[in-house]
Amino acid sequence: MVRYGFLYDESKCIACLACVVACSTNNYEDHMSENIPNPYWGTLATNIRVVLKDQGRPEQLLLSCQQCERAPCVEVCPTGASYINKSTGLVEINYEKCIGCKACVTACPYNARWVDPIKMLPMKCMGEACKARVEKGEQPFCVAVCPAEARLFGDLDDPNSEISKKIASTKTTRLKEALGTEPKFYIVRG
Amino acid sequence: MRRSFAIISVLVVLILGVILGAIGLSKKEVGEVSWGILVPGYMFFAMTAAGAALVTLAPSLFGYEGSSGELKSLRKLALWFAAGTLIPSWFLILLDLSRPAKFVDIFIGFNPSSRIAWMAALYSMTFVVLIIELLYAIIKEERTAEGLTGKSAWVITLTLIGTVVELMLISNLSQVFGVIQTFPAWHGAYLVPIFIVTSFMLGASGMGIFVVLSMKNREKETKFAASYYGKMIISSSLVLALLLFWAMLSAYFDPEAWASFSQMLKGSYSAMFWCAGVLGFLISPTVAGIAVRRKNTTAIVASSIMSLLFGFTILYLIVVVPQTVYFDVLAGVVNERVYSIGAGELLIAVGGLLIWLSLISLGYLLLPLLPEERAKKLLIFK
Repeated sequence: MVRYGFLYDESKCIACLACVVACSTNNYEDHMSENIPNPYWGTLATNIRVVLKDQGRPEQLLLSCQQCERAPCVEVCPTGASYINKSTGLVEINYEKCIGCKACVTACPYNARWVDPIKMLPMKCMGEACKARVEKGEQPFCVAVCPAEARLFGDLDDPNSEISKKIASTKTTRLKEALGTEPKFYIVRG
Repeated sequence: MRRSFAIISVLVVLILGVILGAIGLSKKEVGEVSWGILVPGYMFFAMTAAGAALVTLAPSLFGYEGSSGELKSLRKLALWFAAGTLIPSWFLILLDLSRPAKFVDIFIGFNPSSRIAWMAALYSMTFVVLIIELLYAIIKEERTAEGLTGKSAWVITLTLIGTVVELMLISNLSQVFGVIQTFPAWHGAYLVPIFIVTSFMLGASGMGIFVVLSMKNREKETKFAASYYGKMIISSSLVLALLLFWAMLSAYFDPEAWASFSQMLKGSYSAMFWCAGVLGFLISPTVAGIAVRRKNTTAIVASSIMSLLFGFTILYLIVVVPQTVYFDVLAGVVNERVYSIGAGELLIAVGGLLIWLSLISLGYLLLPLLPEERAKKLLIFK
C-alpha cells in the first residue's frame, strides 16, 4: 500500500513545457498525430494545464490532477466510475462504468479534467501510458522528462522517498485547501 | 375517423422527435462548456412536471379542491401532464450522456454521495408514483360510476407520497449544482427555493395551457384554471424576483460568484437576462392579472407561454453562465469560456420538444382524462 503524490517546484520550473508535450505524445498519441486538441484548455491533448497569471507579479503553474484525498469528482460520479485506487491513493477512472455525464469535469475545482473529443469521455492525469510506467516502478512521463527536476512523484507515506524529504525540508503549499479536498499535489512557490 | 387521424398524426410527430434526437446524438461535439442547453432542457421538463403535479394536487392535502371542486376535475389532466412531461426529461438526460446505453449503470453502481445518482432514482420514483396515481384515479372513477365506492384514504396517501417525492426531486436537482464548488454562483443556499418557485411557475404555466386547450367546452373549469393558475404565476413570479435579488445581493459580496452574476446583469448575457426579466417579471404577471380578474382563458394561455419561455431562459442562464466565467486556482486569474449551442444539441432539444407535445396530445386522445370520460378498453383507455 502506497500513497502517491506529486510535487511541482515552481522555483525550478523553466517553463519549457517538456512535461506537457511528453504527457500528450505518450498518453494521447493518436490525438497528436491527427492534431486533435484539448477543447477545454485550448491546448494540445494533455493532462497538464498551464495557468498563467500575467497581471501583478507574473506567475505560471503547470498543473494536473491534484489526486485529492476527498475528491469532488469521486463524490459526484453517479456510477462510481471515478474512484480512488486504494493501493496507490491515485484518483482513477474506470471507463467500463463511465456513462459520460461530465459531472466529474464540472465538479473539479482545479479544472483538471477535460473531455476527449474522440471518445467523448473525461480524461485526467494519469493517462494510461503513465499508469503503466508507475506500475513498473518508473516515474510518470512528466516527471521523467523534466530537465530542471522541477517535478517529483512518489510515496507520501514513505519518509525516505524523495518527495517526502522535499516536503519536510521545504515550504510547500496546496491549492484551494479551504475547500477541504486534501490534495496530494504539493507546490513550491517561486 | 378524426380521432384515428389525430392519433396517427401525433405518432408521426413522436417518431420525428425520436429521429431528430438520434441524428442529434450522432452530431454531438465537445465544446468548452460541460453542461450545455440539454441540461437546462431536462431541468425545464422535470421542474414543469413536478410543478404541475404540486400546484394541482398538493392543495387537496390541505382540504382545498377549488370553490366547487374544480381542482378535482383537473386531477387526471395534471397527473398525465406531469407523467408525460417527465418522459422528454429522460430523453434529454439520456442523449446528453456520452454513453446513453450504459445509463442503467447508475442503478447498478449507485453512488449515494452523487446527486445525479439520486436524480435517476427520484425521476423513476416520481414517474412511477404519478402513473400509479393516474391509474388509480381512472379506475376509481370507473368504479364510482358503477356505484362502487373507493377509499379516499388511498387518494390522500398517494397524493402525499407524490408531493414528497416531487419536492425531493426539485430540491435534489438544485443540489446537483449546489454541491459543486467549482462555480461559486451555484454554491448558495438560494438555489433550492429558486428551483422550487420556478417549478411552481412552470407547472402552473404548463397546466394553464393544457387545461384551457383540453377543456375548451367546459367554461367552469377553464375559468377556474385562468384564475387559479394566473394567481400561481403572479405569486411565483414575485417570489422568484425576490429570490433572484437575494442571490445577486449575496453574490455582490462574493467576487467569485459576482463574476457570473455580473455577466447576466451587464455582461454578454445581459440582453437575454433583461429581456427574460421584462417578460417574466412584468408582462407575464400583468397578463396573468387580467386572466385572474376577468377569468380570461386567452390571457392565461398568453401569460403561461411567456412564463414558460422566461422559466427556461432563467434555468439556461443559471446553468450556463457560471461555467463561462470563473476564477482559476491563482488569485486574480479569471477563466472565460465561450458556449455556443451545437447543431447536435439543438436537434436533440427540438426532438425533446416534439416528443413532449406529442405525448401530452396522445394521452389526451387515448386516456379518459376529462371528468365525464370513463375507461372502456383495458381498464384505462377510453
